Formats: sequence, structure tokens, C-alpha cells
Amino acid sequence: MAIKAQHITKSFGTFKAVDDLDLYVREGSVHGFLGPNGAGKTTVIRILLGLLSPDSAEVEILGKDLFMSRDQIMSQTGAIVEYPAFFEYMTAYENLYYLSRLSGCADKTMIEKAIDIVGLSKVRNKLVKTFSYGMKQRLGIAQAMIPENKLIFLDEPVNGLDPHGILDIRNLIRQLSENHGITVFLSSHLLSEVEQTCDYVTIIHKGHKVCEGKVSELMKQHESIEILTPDRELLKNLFARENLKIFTEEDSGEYSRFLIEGSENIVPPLVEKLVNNKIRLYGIAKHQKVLEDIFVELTGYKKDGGPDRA
Amino acid sequence: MLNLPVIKKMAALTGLEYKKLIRQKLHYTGLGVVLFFTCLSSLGFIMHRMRNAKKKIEGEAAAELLNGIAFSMTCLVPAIYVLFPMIISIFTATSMAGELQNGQMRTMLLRPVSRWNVFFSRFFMMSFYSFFLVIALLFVSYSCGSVMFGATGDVVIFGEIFLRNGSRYILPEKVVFTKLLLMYSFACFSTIYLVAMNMMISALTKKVSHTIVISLGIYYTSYILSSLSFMKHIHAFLPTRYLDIWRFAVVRDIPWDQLFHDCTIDICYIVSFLVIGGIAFNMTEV
Repeated sequence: MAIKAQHITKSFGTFKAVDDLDLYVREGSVHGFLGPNGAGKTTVIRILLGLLSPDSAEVEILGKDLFMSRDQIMSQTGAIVEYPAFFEYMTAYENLYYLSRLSGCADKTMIEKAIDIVGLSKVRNKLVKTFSYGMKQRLGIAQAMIPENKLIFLDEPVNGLDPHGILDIRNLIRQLSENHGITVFLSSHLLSEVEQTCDYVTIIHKGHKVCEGKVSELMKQHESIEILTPDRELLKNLFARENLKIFTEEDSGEYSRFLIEGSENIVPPLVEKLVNNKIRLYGIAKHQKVLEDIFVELTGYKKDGGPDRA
Repeated sequence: MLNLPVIKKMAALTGLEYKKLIRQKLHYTGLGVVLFFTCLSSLGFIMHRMRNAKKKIEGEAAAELLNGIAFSMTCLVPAIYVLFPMIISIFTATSMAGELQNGQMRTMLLRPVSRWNVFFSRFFMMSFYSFFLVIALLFVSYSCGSVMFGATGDVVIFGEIFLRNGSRYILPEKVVFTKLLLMYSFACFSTIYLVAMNMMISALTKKVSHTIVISLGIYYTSYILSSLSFMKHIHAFLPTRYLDIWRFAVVRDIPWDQLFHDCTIDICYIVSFLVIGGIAFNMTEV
């Protein structure tokens, strides 16, 4: 395990930001860390990086205890936390050079390579104060890479990037993991990005872990059946009698859309039951949930952004 | 036994701080202020000399007593009381609290560096910068004064300017240059106190504006209260009570016992500030 963290707890006054959270991140993987705003993601990342003292935690990173060997851990770890902050009166190259000197290794070749990878070669000698937010984000990723870190924490790394930039960063993250064996711990609100980029995901809500696992397996577990019908009450009554679980229900005026628990195997007998109960069907199909659906379901948030008050 | 990795880290940190100082052009800013201040002071000195050309002080011509060394000594007084504390407070606050506020400190602390190393490297660099200000003033004021008023000669010491008493006496030419260098050396020591105090307040408040207001508030309030005779019962407790050790340099016979006593108290204050500031910085959630 690249990260083995248990019983992470942190309070700010009377507010418990993180409550007995366990986290396991496999070496060489890209691990997504998801949660709504205020779930405690950045707090957990700051604890794992030693920027914040937890109320309690047992944390092992790269096989070493965080609280006993932080310097050794940080010599092999890079990170962007919140927003990338650099010395704006220095050039991109100078920032990377002096920061890598603090890690005990200022290899100019490595710095040049990191700058090339993030696409900042043409502006390496320009002052950071002339950079756009997206360029600073790229520079942040470059500084997280040097010198030859084994573990990288990226807190919202694609914020401020255009679609091309997002694609580049996604490819870069996959490249770091697949070609260089670097473990990437990635926190993001862009669920589609996490789905496409990450091997594993941990979802937290209000400081608690609600779900953890391989992305592909998680999506398989959350297969469902989509039913479109105008006979809303009839269907709900049938499902109550048959003990079938309804995940979500949406009413679009002409008909209602239901997502129910079950795999594609239950479609034929289900159709028979619906027809026998005189429930009109506009459509029935297997529905593959995307990570966003799982996230919404587990954290109780509606797709339009508000909390699910049901 | 020397701990080589720690020395390398301190060298890397100090190199970064030095680079930041140069890149932010703080040396130009400080030098600019010193030049402006010296120009204004020289104008005042010239006019004073002109109006007192025919006067005699202690039997000597006043014009002869107001020479380059006297000018340089006089320039230090308002600089060390007002100008340098203000500059040091603003730049130390910007360096320490400013980087905590803006996030650059977090970027640095994501590297394998000890917070004590970061704190002390910053302290050393700001102390170095304060020495630069003092030495720049010495060089600029003495150069200007030498050109305009003559390089050396006897120097009249006005007690109301230097010693906060009504005394007046003349220092002979053979000792004045040594006294000038001593005065500026002791002033360098005083600036370390100001840097340490500002480092501590920066670590405690973590905000630039709060640091500047609190540190300058404490400093100037202490000096104002120390000049009020009816506040004499609290004079011994004021933070700036033992700070102006540079005054001892212009006394005919330097009271070394008193100087040693005041330096010792100042060193205790400096160590306290650094320990409190270092602990606060180590406990800061970044």
C-alpha cells in the first residue's frame, strides 16, 4: 500500500470535519477521492501531507510512519493542495529549481523534462505573475513531479483548464501511473474525470467514508434497470408488494422515470409482471450508472446540485 | 559533528530567501528610502549650518563641528527610531505572514524541510537585510556628509538628540570615527531585536496587516510612553526600554557595564521572541 491511514479524525472547534476515516491506496494506482463540497477531502489531504495535525490518526505512507518520518516521506512525495501558489516574481524555472533544491536534488534535466511534460517549455523563463490560472495549475503539477516522486497528491488538478488541458492532464496522470509506476491520489469534483482517470475511488460525505473500491467493480455493483411509465402509482405499489428497491424517481410530466435495483437478467420477468398488472411501459432497459449517479445516490445529492431532501 | 543534510537544507533555504529578496527588489526599495532620507537630512543640515555659521559651541566654531561624521551620526537617530522599524516590520510581515496568507509557505512546506529551518532561514535573511539598511545609511550619509561638510573633525553631541537629556559636549576628532562605527554596529544589533519581534508576531497572527499594526503599535507606544515622565513607573517594563544601546557609543566614556546589561536583556528578548515565534509557526495549520 502506498497509503495506509486509519482512524483519521479532525475537528475544528465543535465541528467534526473528518470522523474515523480509513483510507487505503494501492501502489502504482490512480486513486480518486470524491466527495461533495465540505465533505473533508482537502482536510484529509492536508493531514496526509503533514500540513494539519489530526485529533487522531495512524498514517503510513510509502511504508513509513507519517509522524515519525515526514521528511523522508516528503522527499518522495509531491502535491498540489487547493491552489498552486508560487513566488510570482520568479520565473517558472526558478520556482521549480529552488523548490527542488529544498528536496535535496536540483537536477536541471529533470526540471526541464517536467516543464516539457506539462507544456510550459515556451514560458519557462517568464515570471509566474504573467501566467494564467491554467498555466499555474500546470506548473503545480510539474512541481509535484520533481524530483522523481513515487507518490503525488493532486487536489482538483484540472480546475481552470480548458477541455484540451483537461485531456492532457488526464493522459499525463495515466502516463505517470502506467509508465512510471507513480501512485497518484487525486481529489476532484469532476466525476467524469475520476471515472475515466482513476483505477480506484473513495467517496466520502460529511467526514465519513461511504464507499471505496475499484471503479469498474463499483459501477458493476450499481447496475440498475430504467423504466419509463405514465402509471407512477401503480408501479410504486407493485414494487412495494414485490420488495423491489427504487433508486431514483423522476417525473417529466408525460411519464415517470424509475431506476430500480437489478441486473439485466430480471428484465424479462419484470416486463411480464408489469404487463400483468396493467402498467403501461414506454421503455425498459438496463441502465449502467456512471460514477455521478453512484456519487449522488451515496451522498444524497440531487443532480441539479442541491441536497436530496427526500 | 556537523549534520550535513541539515546544513545543505539551510543553505538551500537561505539561497531561496536571498533570491526572493533580490527578485522583489527589496534592496532597491530600502536603498531608495535611505537615499531620500539622506537627501532631506542633508538639506536640513546645510540650512542649520548656514544659520549658525558664526556661532560658537564650547569655544569652537559651530560650522566646524557639523561635519560628515556628525551628519552621519545625526542621520542614524530618526532612522533607527522611526524609519528602520517601519521598513523591517513591513518587509518581515510580508515575507512571513504574507506567504502564509498567500499559500507560498504551503508550497514550501510540501517539501522535506523542517519548519524550524524555514523560520530561522527567514530570520537570518531579514536580519541580513536590516544590516544592509544600516550599512547603506552609514555609507550614504558619511559619503554625502564628507563631500558637503568635510570628512572628519570634532563632533558636538547634543544630548537632546542622542541621549534624551540636556547635556552637550564635544568628542575629539581622534575618537569620532571609531564612535561612528560603534554606533552603527550597535544599531545593527538593535535591528535584530526588531526582526525577531516581527517574526514572532507574524507567526502568531498569520496576517500581514495584523502583524504590522501590532508590532509598530507596540514599538511606537513603548517609545511614546518612555518619553512621558509621569509614566516613569512602567518604563522598566517597556519592550523598547533597553533597545537603543547605540546611544552608549556617543558617550565620552562608554559605560560598558550598562551596555553589557542592556545587551543581555535584549538577547533574552530576542531568544524569547524566536522561541515563541518558532513554536507558533510549528503549530500553525497551513
